[in-house]
Amino acid sequence: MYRLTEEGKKYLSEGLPEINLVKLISQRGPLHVSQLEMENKQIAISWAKKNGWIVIEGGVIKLTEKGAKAVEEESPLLKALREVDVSGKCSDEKLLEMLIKRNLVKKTREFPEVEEISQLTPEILLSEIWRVKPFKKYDVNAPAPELYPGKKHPYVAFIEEVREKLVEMGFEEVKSPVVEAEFWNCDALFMPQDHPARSLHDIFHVKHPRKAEIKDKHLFERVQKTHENGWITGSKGWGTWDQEKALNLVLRSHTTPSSIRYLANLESGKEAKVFCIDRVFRPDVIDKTHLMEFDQCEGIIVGKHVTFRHLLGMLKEFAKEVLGTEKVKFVPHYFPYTEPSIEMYIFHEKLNKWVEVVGAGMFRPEVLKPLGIEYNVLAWGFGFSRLAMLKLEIEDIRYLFARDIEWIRKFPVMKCLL
Amino acid sequence: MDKKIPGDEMPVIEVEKNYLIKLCGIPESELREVLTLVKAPIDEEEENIWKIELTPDRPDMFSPEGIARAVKGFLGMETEIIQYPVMDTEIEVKVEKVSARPYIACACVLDVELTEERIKSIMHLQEKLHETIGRKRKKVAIGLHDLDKVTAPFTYAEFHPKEIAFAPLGMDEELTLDLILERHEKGRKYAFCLEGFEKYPVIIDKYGEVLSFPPIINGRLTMVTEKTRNLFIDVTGTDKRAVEKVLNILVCNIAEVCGKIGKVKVGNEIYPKLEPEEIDVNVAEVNRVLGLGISEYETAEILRRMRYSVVEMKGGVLKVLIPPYRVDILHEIDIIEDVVIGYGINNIIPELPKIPTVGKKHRKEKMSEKIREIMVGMGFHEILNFMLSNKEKQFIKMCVEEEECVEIAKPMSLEFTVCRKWLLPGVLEFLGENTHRSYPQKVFEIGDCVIIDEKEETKTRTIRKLCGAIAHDKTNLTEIKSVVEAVARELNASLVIKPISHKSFIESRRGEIYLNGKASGFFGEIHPQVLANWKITKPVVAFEISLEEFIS
Repeated sequence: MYRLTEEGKKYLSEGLPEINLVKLISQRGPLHVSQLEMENKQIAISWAKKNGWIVIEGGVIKLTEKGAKAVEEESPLLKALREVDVSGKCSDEKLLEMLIKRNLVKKTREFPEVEEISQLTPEILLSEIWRVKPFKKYDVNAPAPELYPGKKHPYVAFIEEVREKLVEMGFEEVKSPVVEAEFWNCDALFMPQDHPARSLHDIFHVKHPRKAEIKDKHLFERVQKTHENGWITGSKGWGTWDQEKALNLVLRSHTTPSSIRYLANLESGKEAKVFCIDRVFRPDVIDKTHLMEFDQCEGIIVGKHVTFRHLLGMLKEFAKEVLGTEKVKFVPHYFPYTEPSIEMYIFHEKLNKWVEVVGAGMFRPEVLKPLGIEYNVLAWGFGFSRLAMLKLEIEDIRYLFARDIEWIRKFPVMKCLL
Repeated sequence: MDKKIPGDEMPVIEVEKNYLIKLCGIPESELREVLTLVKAPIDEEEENIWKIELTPDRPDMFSPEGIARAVKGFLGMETEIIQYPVMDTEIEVKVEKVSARPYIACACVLDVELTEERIKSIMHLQEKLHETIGRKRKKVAIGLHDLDKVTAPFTYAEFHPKEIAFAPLGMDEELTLDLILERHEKGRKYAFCLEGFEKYPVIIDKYGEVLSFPPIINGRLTMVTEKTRNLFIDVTGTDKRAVEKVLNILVCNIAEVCGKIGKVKVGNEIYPKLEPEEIDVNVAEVNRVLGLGISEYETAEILRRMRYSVVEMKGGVLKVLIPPYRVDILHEIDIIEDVVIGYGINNIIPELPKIPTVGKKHRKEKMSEKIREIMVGMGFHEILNFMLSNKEKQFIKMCVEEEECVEIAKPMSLEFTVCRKWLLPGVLEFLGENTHRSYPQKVFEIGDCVIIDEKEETKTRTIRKLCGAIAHDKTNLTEIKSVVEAVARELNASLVIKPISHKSFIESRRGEIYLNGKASGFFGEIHPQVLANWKITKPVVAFEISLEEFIS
């Protein structure tokens, strides 16, 4: 196979320089070399001389008889050049040799004769054989192998969505340790020490290591007094408190310790909006709707002028932005560390019923005073994993942690959008 | 959705629908609406039964009579504290030292007319009180008796388990106390309340007849039936306030429909103590919390509907009397909650809080999101595992020595006994369960692990880690090294690799990863023994690094 070089292509379109030269002389008559103005002047003169088309006498170029004939006839060399361009071959060996010698044509790799092109290859592209051969017809409906792009876990992708939304709403994210002191998990929340939620059946107690050491001794003491007799909070308190129990280590059973730890460090007089999305642990029997560990999302608003009315406003906004609905209603409820406490229901179009989604309330004075917080604090929280089930349309909560690569490969990323 | 607080299951009581409707005296449709507004929504319903979900702070509503009292108040049909008829009696309970349950309070309800549904409702109330405020009878236990079957004065004392015998409810033969704990169904169920005590509490009458063996079972002798005319109630326990309050709930809820409350001398005290406690409620505080801007007068009107009495209004402060059956009022804030319930939450126009703040992700998550992008870019699939694991998975199957880790005291199953220290076991477990799926498999996990750290308040530290693994026929050390190098480059960290003797990997095909000069993790070809332990049939290469250095 042969193809034209850049020079060869140029000559094919503009003509061979020696032909151009004899044509010029035949039109204008003999010319002095110095008067000749054309491209590739030296090449033209040299080849015209070699071919015996011109003679130069005293610097003047004159056409020979042979030269005059060459003007009339089509140049065999140009013809050969055209042949190579079209077919990649040349029937005249001598002319081909000449073309190669003049670097107008280059040899390329040999190809087996193909009737049609199937797989396009670099060779086909280089040889430009595609100019003359037809493409094999392909069926666009023929099956293609499945491809699964690398991706985030669907549940994690959904968590990222909600996190993004809460940040947009002006909340700052906070964290707390997985292994937590009962003090932060319960006592600082004014949950009485004999509260059923604090039993071994409802919180994972840690066997090793066993005891925490609360660094803020003053806070520890204030919480103790609040439990014992209400301290200065105006409360009756619970009557008793055992500091050894408060030091027990547990796996955090809710995300509220992150809010409480944040409040304990909050500068006096500062307003704030913070949230937390994290794993929590409870000794449940695993089934379609229960896991021993799942995620919770919660947030608090600290503000000089915030009131219960703002709690409702916040929840409504949350329902609109995160849950995608404005159909909400509130019912009174009970949580040990908030008062008043409420639950927000949203109307679930698919299930055609009201479902409770968010628990909320205002932290009790017995919680806030020991932390040194003077302002009202609005708090809300919900089981994130259950929300994800609703949004990702998963019937069985265990699927969130399923060890099944196919499920991850095939779960459409768009379903994870808010 | 989720119960917000673990273990805070909302008590559900079953009521006869028609009985409740009759007590409330309003049409069914209206009652359905109101129930949700007074913290007593219908959870489920069958033909003639409503299952009503209550909240643990309102044990006084654990019976239809208590619910009716709240409903009638809410609608303004009956307001303020009810003065139930109370009379003196000659009945006395002598109290001796009882170590297991030091506190006792008793009362009578006389001239009762007990129908089947009333008895059912009282029994149900008793049972719910045991479960909730009674902490499974340990803190408070209740006995209800037919007063006319025994003779006062009664004595509350403690006895050796073999010292006394009687026929318990539900049995014909007389058994000693230890045998009751052994043989009676309730004995087995509640024996834990008496664990560690040599003597057990018993209430006997003038002639030594046994009324009750608290908190286990009553005697058969004093069983309450429809024929019972006079009730005697004993409440025993370990918390004086709770014992007294439970007695109040019982007598008030029974007297709500029939009978007169009879006072009993118990030791040196007279029970029940029905004199309402007093509390000051500051209307400015009500408005500071609720944002309603309501007046003294309105507040008082609402409180009367919520069954409080308001005896004085002065300078924006209300003197409020608390009904004797309310156990949940610890603070002014608890009254404020009732103000908002009485006002009607859905009558409040919500308002967005105007607090100028800047939203921010936690650096740990921001960082994790970036790493996730890098791993996904290299074609990895993210997986998600539990943080709870066990020693077999964390150490034995990985062929490494057992190390100190966080251990759970009372695990629910052998599957979950410790907090994971590292991610690789979970990643390999995942690969081991996907051997029937197409290869190559490239997976990663970003998640928290917990390590012991004596310097920390909680003696532990929560560490974020990254682990990646590749499984296919031709994977090798070079392939995972490229990944490690790419991750280090994207972390903008200097990478040095040193030899390591980590038994999960093949010798000489493993390295320790130093990022910015700190030992951060390791990588290599997983040892065939480890692969066999996880039932993986393809070669696997993996790496794991801690991200903590890049978070703080």
